[in-house]
Amino acid sequence: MDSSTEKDLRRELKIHAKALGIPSGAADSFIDETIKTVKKNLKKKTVITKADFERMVARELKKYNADFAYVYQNRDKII
Amino acid sequence: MGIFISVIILVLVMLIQLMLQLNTGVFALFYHYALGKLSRKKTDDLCLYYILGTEMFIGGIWLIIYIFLFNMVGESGEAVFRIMPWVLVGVCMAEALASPFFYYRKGKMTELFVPRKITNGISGKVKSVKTRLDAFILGFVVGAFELIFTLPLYLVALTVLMGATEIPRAPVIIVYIILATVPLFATRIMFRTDHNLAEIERKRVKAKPFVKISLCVLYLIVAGLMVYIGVQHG
Repeated sequence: MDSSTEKDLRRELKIHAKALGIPSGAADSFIDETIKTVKKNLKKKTVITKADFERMVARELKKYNADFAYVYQNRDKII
Repeated sequence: MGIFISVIILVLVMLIQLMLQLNTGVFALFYHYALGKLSRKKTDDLCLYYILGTEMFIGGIWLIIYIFLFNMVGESGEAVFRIMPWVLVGVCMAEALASPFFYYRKGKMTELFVPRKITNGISGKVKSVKTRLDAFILGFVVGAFELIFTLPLYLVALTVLMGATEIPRAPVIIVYIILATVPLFATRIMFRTDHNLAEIERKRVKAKPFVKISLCVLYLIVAGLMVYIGVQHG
């Protein structure tokens, strides 16, 4: 994951976390852990699609907060 | 035209308007992103402008169709009441058939059968709203994208209103405009009572089969009643 992707992902996740009412300290910790694990998993793969990447992020988020994962994964399927 | 039938048609048309989902979906997403970026006070302020934009669009459309139909009636008198109900029967039948199969996309979410380019455009706008003007324009534009489903409703209601002179037109139109934004106010209340987008979406997904069937049945009933009106006006 390059730094701009990580920055965008972090920014987006922070928006969702605030909107969901997750306290900022907890949200930061969830996001850090998620990104750390996703980065680790990405190292094992040579090619990955956007959908796979999003699924991976959602799977990690689900460990901390189901609503957080749900909103992130389905944000483009609401309209 | 019987006042009883006219009132029933107007109520059905309003019910259909209440069930349409595009504006509700966009509004929920808009509120979520605004809440994630801005303060609750600013979000509430913007959401009122969004609703105002939607109301302005609906009011404007009513006015345009009203003027158009009024001129038609003025020029050709009864002719409009002979043709219009039959045209609307066809349109309502088409909407009834489309509702269960084409209103939502397949899948576990509430994705609507709107071209992807449009939904991507709306999503981009939703994420970037910062000012009252942006929110107002977004509400206005979303109303326009919903026209494929709402235009027949306006036409049915206005045809009925023009035929039933006993029913006061202005109050009905005002009630219609207010009712059209009830789902938006309901969504706002849900957000304000500590519901989040995930909870609202899960409720909407659960209601999907009900909405599909209800839209189909309501459009069919309206089509049936328009046949009755068409026969009456021979």
